[in-house]
Amino acid sequence: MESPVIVGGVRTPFVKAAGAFNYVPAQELGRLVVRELLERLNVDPDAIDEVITGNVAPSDAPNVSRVIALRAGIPIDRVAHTVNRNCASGLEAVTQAYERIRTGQAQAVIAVGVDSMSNIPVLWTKSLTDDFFEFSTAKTAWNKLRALARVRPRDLAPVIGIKQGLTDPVSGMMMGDTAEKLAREYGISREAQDLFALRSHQRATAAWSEGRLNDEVMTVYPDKAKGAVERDVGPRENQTLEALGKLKPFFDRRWGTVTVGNSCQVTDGAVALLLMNEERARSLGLPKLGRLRGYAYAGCDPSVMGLGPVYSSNRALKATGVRMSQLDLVEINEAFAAQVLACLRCFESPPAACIGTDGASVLGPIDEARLNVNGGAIALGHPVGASGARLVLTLLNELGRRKQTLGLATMCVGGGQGGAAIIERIAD
Amino acid sequence: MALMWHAGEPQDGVLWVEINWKERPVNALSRDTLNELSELIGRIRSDSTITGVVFKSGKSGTFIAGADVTEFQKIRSPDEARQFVLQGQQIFDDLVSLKVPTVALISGACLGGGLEFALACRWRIADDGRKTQLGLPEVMLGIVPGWGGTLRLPNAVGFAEAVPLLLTGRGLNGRQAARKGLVHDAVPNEALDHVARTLLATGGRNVRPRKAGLVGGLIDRLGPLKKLVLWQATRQVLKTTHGHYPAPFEIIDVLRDGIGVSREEHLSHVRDANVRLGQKPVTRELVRLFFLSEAGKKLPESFGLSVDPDTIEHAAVIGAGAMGAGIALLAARRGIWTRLKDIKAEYVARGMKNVRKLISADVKRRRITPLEGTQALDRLSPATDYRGLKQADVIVEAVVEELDVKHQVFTDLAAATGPNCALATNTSSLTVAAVAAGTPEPSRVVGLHFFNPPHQMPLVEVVRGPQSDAKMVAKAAALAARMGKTLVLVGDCAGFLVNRILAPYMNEAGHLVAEVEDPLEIDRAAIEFGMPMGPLALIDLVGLGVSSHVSENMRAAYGERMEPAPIWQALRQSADASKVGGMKVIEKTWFGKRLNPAVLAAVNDLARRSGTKKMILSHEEIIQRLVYPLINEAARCLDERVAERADDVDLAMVFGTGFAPFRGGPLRYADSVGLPKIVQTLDRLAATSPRFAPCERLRRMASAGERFHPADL
Repeated sequence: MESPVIVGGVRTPFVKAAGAFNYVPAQELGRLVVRELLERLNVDPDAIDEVITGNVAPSDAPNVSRVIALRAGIPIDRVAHTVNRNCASGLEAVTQAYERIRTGQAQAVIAVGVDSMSNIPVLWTKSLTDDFFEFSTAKTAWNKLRALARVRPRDLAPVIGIKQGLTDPVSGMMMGDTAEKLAREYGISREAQDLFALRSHQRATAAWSEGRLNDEVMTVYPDKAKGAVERDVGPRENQTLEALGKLKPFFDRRWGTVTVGNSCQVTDGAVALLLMNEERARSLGLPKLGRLRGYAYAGCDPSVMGLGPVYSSNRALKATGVRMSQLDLVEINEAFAAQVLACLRCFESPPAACIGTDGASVLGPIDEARLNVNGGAIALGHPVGASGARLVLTLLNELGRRKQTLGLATMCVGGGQGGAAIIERIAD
Repeated sequence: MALMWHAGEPQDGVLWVEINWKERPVNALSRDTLNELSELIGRIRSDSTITGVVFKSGKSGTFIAGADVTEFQKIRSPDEARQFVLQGQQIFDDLVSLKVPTVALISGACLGGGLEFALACRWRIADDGRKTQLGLPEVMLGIVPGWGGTLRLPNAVGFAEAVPLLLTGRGLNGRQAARKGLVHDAVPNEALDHVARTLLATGGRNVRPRKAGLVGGLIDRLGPLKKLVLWQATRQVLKTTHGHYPAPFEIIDVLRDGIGVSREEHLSHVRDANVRLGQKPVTRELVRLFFLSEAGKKLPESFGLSVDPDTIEHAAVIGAGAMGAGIALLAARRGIWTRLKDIKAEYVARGMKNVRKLISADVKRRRITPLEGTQALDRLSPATDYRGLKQADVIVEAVVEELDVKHQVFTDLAAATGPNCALATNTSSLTVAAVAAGTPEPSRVVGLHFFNPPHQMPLVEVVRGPQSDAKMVAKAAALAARMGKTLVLVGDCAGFLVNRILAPYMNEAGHLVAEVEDPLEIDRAAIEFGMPMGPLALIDLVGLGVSSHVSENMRAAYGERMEPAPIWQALRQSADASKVGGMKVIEKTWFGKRLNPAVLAAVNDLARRSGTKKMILSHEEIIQRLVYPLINEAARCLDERVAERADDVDLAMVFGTGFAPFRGGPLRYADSVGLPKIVQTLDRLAATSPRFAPCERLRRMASAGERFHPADL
């Protein structure tokens, strides 16, 4: 087996949907990060074998990965495909890139995670689509008229794509409903959630003001927007607990605890990481930032999809033999504060599925001082397809800054899955 | 072996003719290639097995570029000229009268005589490629399309559409040509053969005739309406050319006289018009400038160092101001990966906004498709640091004109780039030597002087600094050539060639403002002389602040003769000194133009102190004072080898400043005036101020009876 390493990464600032990136579709966001990554590393596009892109929201390009690759100057005889593991699509891109290199199928792969939630289309109802189809295929004027006459006012109501995308068809629950369920089952109070959300903002703003994110974030000069976007838009410096407390629950309006304030923000953004065969990286004189020690995905009940990190981390730790105590840093994607807090409870007292026949578990408590140290998706936002790749990038950068070695990046996945990757920094 | 028209045996009755002048880089119509075409037409007529003919170029990038312009220079007498026009007319008439259908498959440049040839074919199919261009640019060479274009173009596109095409010489791409009806369709290149075969097999059943609109149709039918169109065109031509160019008027006359007359008579009018035009100096100057600019586009070649412009793949522009953004756009538009760097994100953002604005303007004017606009933007990557420059072939610096800043930039660049990357400065006020001096690798530093606005101005001065490595100069020149610019190689001195020669002219305008009774006459005289705008309007365009900065620089470099006119000094010491930077010398008011009152006050103040009286000068006297010092400075530049040849001076001044093209540039103009007269006038003026004193070279040439250019070109 070959040895893949991560040689660099960069991401756009994460910008709230309908904000400065409103007119920047996913293919453009992806192109920007890939191009910037190549420029920063001075890598000739000719050295790239493949681009794998994680993308969830319907984009304006079929197989957006191929479009990104070609527009960024990757030669036409290379391949590119788009992957979708819902919220873990960015992570999926990274792990697939890792496998490609590990098995010797490629020497250098760019893993991209991208989503433009601003550009999720609004859809027509199925009945209206049917009527249109009938209208356009009708041969006679009379039949055309009949097709038109069948349209009812309620058919004209648009289907909001983003709402559809955030609903799990199997359990029939919206993502926020699954978070409400976890909050109820684990008795996680509104205050605990708001406190967690507040800390996410505080850590993210501190990270920015201390310049810890400068290196991983590129400046974007979007079309039809004022000036440059240099920073993540989400983190609020003046966020207070009181302000968070005033928000109405969004999903369960009467009895719920999950608000837009303690959930992740809906944002646009893209991340790119360059993975290479270690030998190739050395011959090109590129830095070796780190590697994947191992990774795992795991399935779970879709109605408590938020616990995905527990099951997937369990697998990843088992597979790699890494112990919880060895982990210097942990990133759990903050889909919802309630969901992360539920995960923390489960890490501390693992569910039956994560306990071995000997009664022991590889899981253990996570010190919150090592968790999401530069803030998470509640402050920064969660461009669904991009977040997995962001966790890997930010973890690697922070390990480098602290001169530490091991980290866990894990996330829940809508539809009832979890993904976890164990990242190891390579000391220079 | 055929010269240009290669026809084998007919296949299934269709004769495929490959147009390929093997000895030349492009296909063109000379006496010889026309004769060969005539023989081919004879063969087609006599061979009854031929049922159709297809013409297609064997060269990528040109169909037929036009008449062979070198042929023009061989023409020695009006009779020969008439003969050459007649030859083409007759041959194309023969082509039209062929019984078998003919198809022109047009890919690449199809201009002038080339388009007239295509117009004589039964069907024209163009491809939709980027290199395909159709037009009748004869007017730019000062002549009338001679081989039936004035007849067949209106037939193809309608009279009202044809007039502007004939008068501007504008080219159309395949799709535009199809929309106007100039070609019968525009299709992808690889479909051309199939379309030709189908056309011939079906007798052109699927070709739809052009639909003239209501107005267009009426104009085509009614003579008086045609005259109305021509009357309007005349007004337009007068407005844009000030009557300096005879060709547009001849074209209008030919069209007017052609209403309701026979084809033979019309064609004989065309012959007469071209014979008349051929004898005018304007035509000679325009043809000469055409050759100079064609040669200028191939400058890197003429260095004897073959840096193929197509090998330039990566570039960067440092400084995202108006200049930098424009240069970056030029590179990106040509498919070069371009990094645009400035120190602050805010500046980069402004630069990117400018680039987007220019691109969307081009898209709106249909110069490029929206897709091409996106492709250009994809090639551009903005930055605020020096990362991403390791692969760059050439870097153009366009930061503020401060030596310390430039030294820092070039020091940083030396570290951030590979050893084979040429580092070009776009400075206009500093010398390359000064910029290179404070940098670790002065041999890599060269000058690449773009004019403002860079995407519109065709000229780039390639400046060879005293330490510049020839290979680096060639590389930088290759970048500019790739951008489609006309290049001129110049030596390193303050102002380089163009701005240095222009400096006395601009400065003299300042002297004149204070001396003449009506300063507006200065600009009027210049425009009448053939300048695109007057010197005062030019100062306003550049900005008073910038131009007074430039004149300070010139004084520092050249001393007394470039001493800034006292009015500029006075303005800066006046009450409104803080506003001088943005002030206009000439104001537009509701009642027309007038001298800015603040300038007027300064002028009067100056006059009071020095006790001079205002004068009334004729336009001729104004021109003498403006242009003769300019010629004097040009002679100095030749003497100091800032420019190698008098041709370079003329080319640079015409393409860099718009110096009256019909006069052939300042040195051709000097020859036409006569050097002794110029020296005499300068001597007389020198009695009032030493700045006019003719230089040694000019004096020597005048007394020896020499000229800058040979008498007969």
